[in-house]
Amino acid sequence: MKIPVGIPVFVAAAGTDPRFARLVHRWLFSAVFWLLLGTAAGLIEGYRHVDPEFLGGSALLTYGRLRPVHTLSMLFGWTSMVSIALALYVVPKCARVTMDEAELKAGNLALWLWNAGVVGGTAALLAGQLNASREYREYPVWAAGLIAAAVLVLFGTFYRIVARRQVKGVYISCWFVLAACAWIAVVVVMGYLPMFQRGLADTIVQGYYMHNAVGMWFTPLAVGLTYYTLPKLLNKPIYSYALGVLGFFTHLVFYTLIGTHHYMFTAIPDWLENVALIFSVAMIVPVFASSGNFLLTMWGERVAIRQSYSLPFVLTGVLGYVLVSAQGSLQSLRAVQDGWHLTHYTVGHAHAAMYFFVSFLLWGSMYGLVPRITGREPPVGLVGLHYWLAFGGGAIMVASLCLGGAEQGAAWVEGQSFMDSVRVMRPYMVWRVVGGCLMAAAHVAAAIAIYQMRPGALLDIFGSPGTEPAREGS
Amino acid sequence: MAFDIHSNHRALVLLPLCIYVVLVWLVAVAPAADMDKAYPVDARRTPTDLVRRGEEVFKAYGCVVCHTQQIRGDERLREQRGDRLVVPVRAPDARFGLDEPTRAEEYAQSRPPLIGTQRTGPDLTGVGDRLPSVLWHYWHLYDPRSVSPGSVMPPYRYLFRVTTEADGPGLAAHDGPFPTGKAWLLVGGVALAFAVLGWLMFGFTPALGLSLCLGVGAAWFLIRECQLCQPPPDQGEVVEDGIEALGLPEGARLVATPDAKALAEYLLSLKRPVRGP
Repeated sequence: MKIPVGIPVFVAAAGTDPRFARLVHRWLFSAVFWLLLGTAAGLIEGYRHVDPEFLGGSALLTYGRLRPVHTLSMLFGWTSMVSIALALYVVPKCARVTMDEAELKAGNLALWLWNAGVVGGTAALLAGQLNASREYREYPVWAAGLIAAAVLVLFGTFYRIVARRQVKGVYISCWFVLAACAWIAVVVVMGYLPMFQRGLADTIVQGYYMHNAVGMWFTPLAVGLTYYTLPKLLNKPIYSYALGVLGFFTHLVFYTLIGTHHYMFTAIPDWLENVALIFSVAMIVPVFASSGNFLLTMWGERVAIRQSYSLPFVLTGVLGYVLVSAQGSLQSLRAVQDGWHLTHYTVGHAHAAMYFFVSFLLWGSMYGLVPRITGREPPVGLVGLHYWLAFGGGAIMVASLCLGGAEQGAAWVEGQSFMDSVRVMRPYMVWRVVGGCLMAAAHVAAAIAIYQMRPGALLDIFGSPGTEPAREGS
Repeated sequence: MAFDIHSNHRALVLLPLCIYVVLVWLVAVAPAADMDKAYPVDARRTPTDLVRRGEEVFKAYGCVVCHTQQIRGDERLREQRGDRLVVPVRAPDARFGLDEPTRAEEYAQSRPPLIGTQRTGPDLTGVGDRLPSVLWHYWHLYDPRSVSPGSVMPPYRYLFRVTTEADGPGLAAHDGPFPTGKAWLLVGGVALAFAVLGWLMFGFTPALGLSLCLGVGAAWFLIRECQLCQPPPDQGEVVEDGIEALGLPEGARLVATPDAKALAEYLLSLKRPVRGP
């Protein structure tokens, strides 16, 4: 039960400050709490497409309210918090320092602010304060403000760690983490600006916001963390550092410009739609730069991948990144939009992106790195169960949504009655619930695994808190 | 230190941030400001208070999650029809019976336009022309499948009250979902979940207190909001016609709450505006 780098995790974790281990694990624990809550909300919503009367008596659990509870729990709860948990380990490692007293305090403060934001935001959503269902900014401004404050605290923390680094260069993982914190702050401010709340100005900002909230936060975090995890687990350098830099800057320029592809064929100016379309296709460059870099690093490492329980997640996540980005570029084309936009196809794409790309990469990093912090490994069988349930369930969900959405779109183009296009979806919606149940089971397995990786007694045996970690490398 | 982003962390943070802000200005701030200027607020087209309230109900239940308000068209395919240039409607949107895509000025008075990104249910542009009966909307909101077989829309029964003849309008035979025992259970569960979470994460410290406060605060918030939905007894509108298919108990009457009235009014107001000069 070793990770392929060759050092047992309890040795790797020796000398870790137990307060630091607890901080990371608190972020993880919060993340998995929101993962389970978001999964429950998603399952209810999915089942409602099969039986629309389900829980129909409660205004709190209205379809239109539970949907943002599901999406925002996943985005701001699960995915963000697990990324931050891992970044809190990766950034000090790259800077070759350990977090000091002030930084640990800041990390805990950010955790509180962040959780308060998500709790308050979720309560406001259930009570019907939906910010007019502006997608991914449904939280009221005060809840988003709490999260933004947490982001600023984290940015300050990461910046401070990088500034007092013990090496000359700043490793590319830190680039992505620092930039993501700076970018998402701009995104949140733009999303809640009091001007541009009327007419199509709001829609232009909406298109920008909803794509940048994903692409300037989750993508750089997931990619940046993988730039640390992958070389670490394989015990070899990344294939090409220059490709990573190319990926970073092309991602910055191209991704920022593509938000309007959610509103093709609308009254938004044509030039904006064309810019979005061109750069959506150009996204192939940063995607291939990063994912190609990862794949070439993994080239020839089949044995290591088979022996590891974390690398399969990384490999799946990287392949998912390629596929889902190719799908996204394709979807932005006007000819494709004609038939597939506004259907369930888009929902399938969104799930593919947040699951097979972001979540799988983060799970890979989580299983690869957390045992090095806490000194405890999860049971391998449980992780395997997690992998296969998540892979199978996710595949069923994405396939049913994409195939069903394509059929739904075809029914619209052919001019069948709208109700026919609803009936066509029914079997796919049943399959979606099946996939969702498997994913829910996977998330329960993940939660148990996270519990098994909790910081514990091993730390006290192999290292006394506060001492300098006595090892080279990293 | 030289301006080398590989070793100068200040440059490393500032360069991507500056590039990002410039690009955001180009694709979000500038076009949004242009849009604001091009289509100013028009006081003559202010909706009535009831319609505005209905719009708030529409927003509060997240209806836009499933219903778009956009008829799409490709401006590059403009063609001369009679004396004016017309943009043809895209094939998937043609079913809604409108001969022209939605124009920017039609959204100019909305805060924000409920344009939507998914069409699980039909588009609502011009629904006031297609379905002009307020009764139909009441039946449809109370029991969507009674008038629209095969629909997957959830019922919005909490916008109505069911009364028996003897009660008179407004006195509920069975109230809405709140506040019942189940609701208190839910709220207690939420508070307990936060408390347990806080205890697991932070130990039995003031953290537990804060978690409890959050849970109780959330509970208070939910209950207060739900009591707001309960209308004063004399403001309902009795729905008399066509309620046989709704599966009400014998002799019961359906009373539309003010929210239901407003929502129906808002839907009826979604008419295609006459083309401006």
